[in-house]
Amino acid sequence: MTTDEIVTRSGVVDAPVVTVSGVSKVYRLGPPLELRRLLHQAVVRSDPPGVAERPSFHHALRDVDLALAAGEALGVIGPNGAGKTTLLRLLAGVTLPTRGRVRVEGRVSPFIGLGMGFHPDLTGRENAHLYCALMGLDRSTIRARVEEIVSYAEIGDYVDVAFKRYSSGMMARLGFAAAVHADPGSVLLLDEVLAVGDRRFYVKGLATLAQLVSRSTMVFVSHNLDAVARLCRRVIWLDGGRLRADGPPSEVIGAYLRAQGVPTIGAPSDAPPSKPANPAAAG
Amino acid sequence: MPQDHLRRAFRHRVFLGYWLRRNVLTRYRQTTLGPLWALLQPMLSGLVYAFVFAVVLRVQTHPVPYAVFVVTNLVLWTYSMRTILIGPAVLLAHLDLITRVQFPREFLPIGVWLESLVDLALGLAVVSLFFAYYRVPVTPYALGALVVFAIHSAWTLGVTFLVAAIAIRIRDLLQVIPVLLQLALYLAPVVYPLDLVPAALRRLYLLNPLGTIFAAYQETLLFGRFTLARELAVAAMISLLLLVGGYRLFKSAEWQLADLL
Repeated sequence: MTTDEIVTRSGVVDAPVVTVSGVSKVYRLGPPLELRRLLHQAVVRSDPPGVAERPSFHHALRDVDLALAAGEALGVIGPNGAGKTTLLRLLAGVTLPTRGRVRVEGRVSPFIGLGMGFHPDLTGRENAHLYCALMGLDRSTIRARVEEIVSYAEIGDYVDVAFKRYSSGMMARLGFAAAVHADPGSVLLLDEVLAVGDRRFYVKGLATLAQLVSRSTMVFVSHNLDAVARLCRRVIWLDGGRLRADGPPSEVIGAYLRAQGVPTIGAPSDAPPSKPANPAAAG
Repeated sequence: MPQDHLRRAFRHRVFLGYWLRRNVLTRYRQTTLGPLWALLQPMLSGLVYAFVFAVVLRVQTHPVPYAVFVVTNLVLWTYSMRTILIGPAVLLAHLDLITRVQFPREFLPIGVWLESLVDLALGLAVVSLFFAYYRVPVTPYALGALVVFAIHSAWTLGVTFLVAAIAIRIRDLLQVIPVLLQLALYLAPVVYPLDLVPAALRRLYLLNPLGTIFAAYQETLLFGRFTLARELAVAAMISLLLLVGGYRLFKSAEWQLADLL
């Protein structure tokens, strides 16, 4: 498989919507650049006491290649610090790769996280308005979407109450509702959006995401392997910034769980309340 | 390309409107004093300056009473100082948005600038009360203050972008800014009139765009004359350069915001 064309399941050659070629991302850690340090260096030609540590570098992604066809749903799994979030940031275009190239055709939805930009002193409705505006929608679309969001979130009379008075379940539901309704672009980036509410809302959310999968290209980052297996027909496993596996969910999730030392039939402990998934069956 | 930046910014303009509403609403909902809070600060510092300069040092601002002089200047001063102080800091305060959504980053400092404009409008309402109470006449020259205001705004936004661009790289710059702004107050005719600056120094003094801007505000708003056209043209050029240069520098530095860890 080259990065320029993909043979889809049906055998049709399709230009990829998302192309990631040879991408590495390095973050600079260590002492930040400070006026105090610059002055000290200029005058005394040495570091001021206490900040002698050298800058270090964190390789968040190393040589990752990836191509996604239109309509594909990609699950991204891996332990904390594997580079999942960095991958989403690169796809969303909020940061640039240190090496390599990222290309995304069409409109990318922002990298969606729950409750992003919500202000505690604004009401639920006001927050939904703001969220839609943040996603770049125009005024008339916003009005329509806000109604969908508040009815989907099932927050009842609380729409006009300050967000800080919400229960944590209501906050999570409104966050999820906004995330899935505020006009996702043709490429959807979702980060851990299903960590919400009770079992009933989880099922509802999963169904909504399944619908979205059918009409957009999606990159779905989650520790909830049950949801990944249900939504995605392709999964990648990131480990220490490297692409460790890429394939159908049953294989990749199985290999991941074996490597984690978790019995294959158990869902990981941080998954929301749901029956343990059998990835082999769900894939 | 700057044109691309501006085009993208225009496409996201709806967001700017909501963002401003959000910030103005929440600011006034949190405090019981509400909009009064924005006015209290220039009024209180005006009282202190009135004591020091009018009572102790006997500074004359004839024919305008010192109270009118200082309140007018401080309201205009607060407009740009608040923007420069908070505009860059607000970027660092919203890293959660910046690391996720690709919206024009300049909206955050511009949002602060718009808030300062709202404050300024309230402040000018109070200033007009001072004008009425002390029966200070408003002359046709006051229209010239609009030109001064445009230059002042360009300067303010330019400096805000410049400070933001540097603060993205150098973390503790923002701690030095309040001190620099406090010093800048004394290098422009804000709490004392231009007449008190020795004539020999005046040309040098007016090279500072802020010095010219405030001197021109006083002439047009308070004294009913306008003699600083040439100096103001220079200030306008410097301010425009600052605005264009600051914006471009900011746009080239903004990428590093998402990589701040």
